[in-house]
Amino acid sequence: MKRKFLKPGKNNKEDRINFIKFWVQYIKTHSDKEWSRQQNIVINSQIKS
Amino acid sequence: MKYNKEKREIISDKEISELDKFVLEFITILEKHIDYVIISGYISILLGRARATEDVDVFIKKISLEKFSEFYEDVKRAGFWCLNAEKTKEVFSYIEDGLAIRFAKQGQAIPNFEVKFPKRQIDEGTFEDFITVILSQGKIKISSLERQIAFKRYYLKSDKDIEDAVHIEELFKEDIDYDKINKLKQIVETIED
Repeated sequence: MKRKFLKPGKNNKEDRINFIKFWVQYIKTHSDKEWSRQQNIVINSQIKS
Repeated sequence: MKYNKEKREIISDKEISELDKFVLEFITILEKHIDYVIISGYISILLGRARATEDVDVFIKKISLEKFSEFYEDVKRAGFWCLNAEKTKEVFSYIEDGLAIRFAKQGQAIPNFEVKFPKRQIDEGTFEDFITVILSQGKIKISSLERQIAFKRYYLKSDKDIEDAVHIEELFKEDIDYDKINKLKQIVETIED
């Protein structure tokens, strides 16, 4: 599979939106287990701290 | 993650987060007593958005004090507390007045569940077109994708909300009913508060 790259945004707002679209592509092209393992690092760090 | 539009079901094989466990624990008690639908930010997180949240918003159907009391006793027995008040009548008076009441695990303030009755006709509609998300450890009823997008894009409108809407749109763009979003947009744009 050809690797997709993240286009940097011209400002913070555009960069965040570009990342969200990039992340959605990641979700669509990887298993639920694979993306959720990464997502849970963000979520669980808030709950446990 | 697969969305079956006809069945209004999303099947997800994701690994359950600590937040998902908190949600499943609370709604398992809640649904024994009251019909519910989760709304707002947690939905985009449940569907993969990589962000945290302090609270999980939920609509519950309007119920009597007696019925609420049964739920309240049950949820306290399970180790939750209400952040707004202790006495049942006082807690119920808040929700009856159209305010939100919050529940967290004993000894904690976040994450918490923000529980409220639907106020407007459009809120009542949340119970008519909800989606069930089926996880390995349970089921969660969420507001429709179109409602989420319309409320976040045209009512809440913060950067975070727009980003949540973009996430849901990008993820399910082939299945989203854009006519429905436009109809909801016209209604949410008239909401005053």
